[in-house]
Amino acid sequence: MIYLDNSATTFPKPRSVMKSAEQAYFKYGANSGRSAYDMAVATSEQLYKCRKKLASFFSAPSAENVIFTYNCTASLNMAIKGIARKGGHFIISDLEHNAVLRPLEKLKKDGFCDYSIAKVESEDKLTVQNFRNSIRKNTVAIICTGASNVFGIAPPIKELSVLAHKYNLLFIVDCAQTAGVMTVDMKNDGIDILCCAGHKGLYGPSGTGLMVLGDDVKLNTIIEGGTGSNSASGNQPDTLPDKFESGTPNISGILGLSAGIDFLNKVGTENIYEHELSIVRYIQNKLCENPSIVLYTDLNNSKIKFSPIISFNISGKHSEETAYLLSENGIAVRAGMHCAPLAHRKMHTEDTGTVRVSPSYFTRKSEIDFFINSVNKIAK
Amino acid sequence: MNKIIFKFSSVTYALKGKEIAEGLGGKAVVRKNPHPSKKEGCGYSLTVNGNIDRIITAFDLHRVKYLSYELM
Repeated sequence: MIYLDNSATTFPKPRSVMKSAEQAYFKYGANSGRSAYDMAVATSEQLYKCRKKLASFFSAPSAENVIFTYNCTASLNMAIKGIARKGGHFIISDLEHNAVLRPLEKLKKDGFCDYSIAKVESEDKLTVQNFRNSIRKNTVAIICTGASNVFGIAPPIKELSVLAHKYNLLFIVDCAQTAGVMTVDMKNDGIDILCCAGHKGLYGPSGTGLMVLGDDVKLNTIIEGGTGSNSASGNQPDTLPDKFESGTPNISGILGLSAGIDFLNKVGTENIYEHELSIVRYIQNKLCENPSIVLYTDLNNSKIKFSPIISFNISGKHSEETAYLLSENGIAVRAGMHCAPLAHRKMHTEDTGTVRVSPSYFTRKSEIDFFINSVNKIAK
Repeated sequence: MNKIIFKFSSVTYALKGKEIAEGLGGKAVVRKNPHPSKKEGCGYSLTVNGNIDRIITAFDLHRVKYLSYELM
């Protein structure tokens, strides 16, 4: 199988990730932060080490600001609902995933909060202007994707953070498609809350996610329960990370994620980005030779930053049909709406969806050549 | 040089404290607090051999939140 669905989850994982995750079942089998015996303390230490690596990786204020969740959707729900207050207002981009849109739509339907959608343009200053024009007196936060999970378009995060802070708004970034692929620096980029998956660009196992909090960010909890700390009290602890980590963490997942970060530090995010971007540019250059193939972005456009994702369609075919025919050839891609109706509405692809190709560090040119030949055969 | 026992509500802070204390050259051991007081609740203890002033200064600088400490 030629796997080109790494935006959904990366496959394969580095061997070190699998070996590290396995240790949870042989060496670090206790729960973390609960008990007194050596294995329990040792397990807690492994989780702490992972927090530290992630804090360094994202330039977070400190290890305890790294909150383990189960996926990016959980992180975004915690962030959005943790900030939401009655009568509040959020601004989101027109590229957001349902992980951002659905919690806000629910809050709106419940009469709790409202939201506005700001258009991402090909010129950054126009994008910033659109966000600025959406700010109201009751706006509490700007939420923006680091990059579209369908079209790869990367909005101007740093400029939007400047805007948000100018108006005392929190700035939340969905880094599902950028963490591990593009440089994400909370300090430099001015991110107050970073949400991402552990199982995509960070090469961790599924069932891992992160919410990383900037300094002095105050959030309410949406889940309360046992944390192993101050257990006699019926109140949720106020200290990080315990406040947001009720229940047993995904220990094997976190151990695997720790090895994923080691892998990224060894290879270098910039090398991964260069490799993957060269692949999608190659795909674009080859596919655009076929008049039956429709492309939606120009990865060679220097005005726009892209994460290494490319979407296309074959004229006259629904994207799901194309994806099915590709799967018959042993090629794994995702088609349809990608849980991102806003992005498809923006690019007028609501009727057919798109076929999305997302490589990883492990994708080889020979695989891409086979993919391109297969697409051209289907398009005949 | 003192032997100091710090108490923490959270294992994360206990481990952070351990890292900092060891960075100052002291030996540090994290254990579940065997004698939790009703006021402090269950948590973790960090036993450190080191200079109390240097350790507390470092803990404050790195925002290591401890509940209390005891000189032995």
